[in-house]
Amino acid sequence: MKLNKLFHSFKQKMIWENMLKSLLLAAMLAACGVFVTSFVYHILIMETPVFLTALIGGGIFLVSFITAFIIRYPTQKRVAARVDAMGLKERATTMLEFRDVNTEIAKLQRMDAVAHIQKASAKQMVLRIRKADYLLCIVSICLAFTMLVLPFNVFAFSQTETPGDDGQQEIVRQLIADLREDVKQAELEEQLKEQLNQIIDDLEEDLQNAESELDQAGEIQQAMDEMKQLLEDALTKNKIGEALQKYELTRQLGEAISAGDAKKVSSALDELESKLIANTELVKQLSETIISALIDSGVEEDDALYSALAEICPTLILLDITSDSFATNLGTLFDDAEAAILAALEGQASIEEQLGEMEDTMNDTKDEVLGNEKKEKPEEEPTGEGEKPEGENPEGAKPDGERTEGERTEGEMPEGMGGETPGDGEGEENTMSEGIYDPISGSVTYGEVFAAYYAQYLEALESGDVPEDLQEMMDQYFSALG
Amino acid sequence: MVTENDVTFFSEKSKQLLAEISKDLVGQREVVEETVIAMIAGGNVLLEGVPGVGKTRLVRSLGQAFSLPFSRIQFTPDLMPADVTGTTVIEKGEQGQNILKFQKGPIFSNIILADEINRATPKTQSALLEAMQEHTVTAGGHTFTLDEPFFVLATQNPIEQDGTYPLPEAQMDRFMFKLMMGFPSISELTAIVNMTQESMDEHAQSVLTGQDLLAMRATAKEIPITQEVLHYAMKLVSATHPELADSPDYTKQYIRFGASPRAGQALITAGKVRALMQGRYNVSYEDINVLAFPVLRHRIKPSFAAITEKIPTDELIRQLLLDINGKRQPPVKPVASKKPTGRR
Repeated sequence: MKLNKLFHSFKQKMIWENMLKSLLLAAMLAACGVFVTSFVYHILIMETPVFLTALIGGGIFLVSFITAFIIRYPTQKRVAARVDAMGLKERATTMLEFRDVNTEIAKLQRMDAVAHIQKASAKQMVLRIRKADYLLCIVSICLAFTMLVLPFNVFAFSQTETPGDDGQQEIVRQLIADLREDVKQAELEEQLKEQLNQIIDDLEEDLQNAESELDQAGEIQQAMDEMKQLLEDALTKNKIGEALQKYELTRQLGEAISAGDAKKVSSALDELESKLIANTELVKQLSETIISALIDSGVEEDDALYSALAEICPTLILLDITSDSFATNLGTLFDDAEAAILAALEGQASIEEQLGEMEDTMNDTKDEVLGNEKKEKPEEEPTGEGEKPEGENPEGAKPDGERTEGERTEGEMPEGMGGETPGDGEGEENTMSEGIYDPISGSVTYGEVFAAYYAQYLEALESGDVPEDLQEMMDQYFSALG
Repeated sequence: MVTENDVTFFSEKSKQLLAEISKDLVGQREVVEETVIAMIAGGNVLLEGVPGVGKTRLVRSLGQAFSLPFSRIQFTPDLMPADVTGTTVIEKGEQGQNILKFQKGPIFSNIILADEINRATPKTQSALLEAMQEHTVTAGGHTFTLDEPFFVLATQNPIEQDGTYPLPEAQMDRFMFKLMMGFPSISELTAIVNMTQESMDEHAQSVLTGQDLLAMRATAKEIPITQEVLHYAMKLVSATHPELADSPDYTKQYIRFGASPRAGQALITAGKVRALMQGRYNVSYEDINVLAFPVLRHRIKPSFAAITEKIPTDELIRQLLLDINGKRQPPVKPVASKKPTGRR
């Protein structure tokens, strides 16, 4: 009887066993490969690419399965040894080894072996797969799966807080919430509130996408600048006041409006009234002057202060200067105008207050983000120019938030840091000077300076002012500074 | 060339032989079987047991079963070599002249029982050496060939070791097997007493001749053995040597000297006989495992550590087998015997 036929059923079973063992081994090795790949990406704090990992695992599985199957393939010798292990006492192995020997005893041995092999059944052959092999395979697959689903930054032990930290997130959330509350509570026009909320929404999105604390501080600075610009644009008293100051006739009124001082406004209007009564020829001149000044200021016509002043002009022209009631009518006109101007100025004060509050909130948050201590702004002694009249600001000026223009003292910020010296003709407030420089102590925190510096860089980057080949170097520069 | 008839003859005769011997010897099945294996394989046996367990009876039964001359030599401290091999004596010739004639000693027989061999002096013990190995005797300048088959069964008393001469390693190595005859169980003892009450004579009938034995020996030699089994046997013998690098740790710890190459020869030769007696035409791992104990126990010299820790040689052999089969276990030390409480 041919050996292949004799061993056929046993060989088939051993092939199945080999396939199963090779599968287990391949699965275990593939799981190890996936585990190691995932682990390496976790160490590098990078997200594990699923496709690449699956490719690696699949490749290892295939190669190890094929290799193990080939190495362990049941040869005739292996089959014979396995059959002998079923209690045949080396009959099969001896038969195989001496199959070409033709002595009588060798033939007798073969016959004896064949008889015994035919009595045995492949069903009696026990699969030699240990329970430990199954367990090891399952454990390795579980470990690989666990490593794969772990967050990629689970091994990040960096000391600096990342924007993903809970503490940092809380600071940002609080900032956004505070800003929204400030806008909600502020007595501002709806359109202005809407614009401010849009800036806050954009800021929230930018902060979530920020990759580092520096970026966050930069975004906060940028948003702060935008808000300031918006509010300052809404703060039209300065523009109108400055425009009125260019004309001799309206200089006093212009100064009073710029200062936002109700008493001075009232006094200036009284003065004007007196002048017009004394010299009726100034009536038309006054009207033209106001119109010119309003046009020069560039303020929108729907602005409250603009409207309050603009309404004076047509009424002024229509007044009959020869009439006996000219003075009375003039007085009534000016009283109405005063009321309207003061009401408009009150609205402007609210904007100023809002601006101050937002600046404080954002500066404090920037400091927290950069890990600096909050700089306590010292209380400023109220001055004549800067002080608001009582009643016009029922909430009261913030003790440490308000700074008035022209109060720059020695020790002002150096050039390049945006510190426009007082008396500059531009009159444009520099974003970096206000809120940072403490005129009392003459010092400024590094974090605030850097944040403002970085924000300017971001602006330049967005406007395309930084050459592409220098951007990487600039990023490294700011990273080093941070 | 061995034929099927030879194998059939072997199988039948070995069964008959065992059956005949069991008529005279109760129990000791393993000892009887291994003694027969050694005889067929052409080896000698050293039998160790307390007095009265049937050592002499076994040899007598063997002699009767084989119809072979049997002689018993009682070794004593004053036994001389000439008492074993024979001596030259002066005899009167036919014409009255003095002639020297060699008088053969008891060794000139087919089956020799050397009783209490360790009581004789080394000089006398060595007289057996040549006979056991070469099957020749040299005396008076002449070499006499001993008749085949020649089989020596020596005995040793495990007690009363005072004043004895332990066999040297060289002589121990010439015994194919060392068998331990233990004290019979109660049922066996009862059967022995009942049997001997009737008669002390041996009842074994002759079933084989010397020539039959030689034929069986030739048949057994033809039994095939695979390279794996052969390698396994050699691996076992090598594992007994502590000086070898790949020997097990406890070989290095508990064995002082390992077995000689004769152990390997004995394993294979006896393995073939055993396989045939079991009805197989090939040697298996089981044959080697079973025969490892009688082949190795007198060839391995335990170290001082094994002696002080009272680890028996059979336990060392058991550990060797487990180790080369990949199932190593710590050595089992003998349990201390309990003191009798006096209760019935």
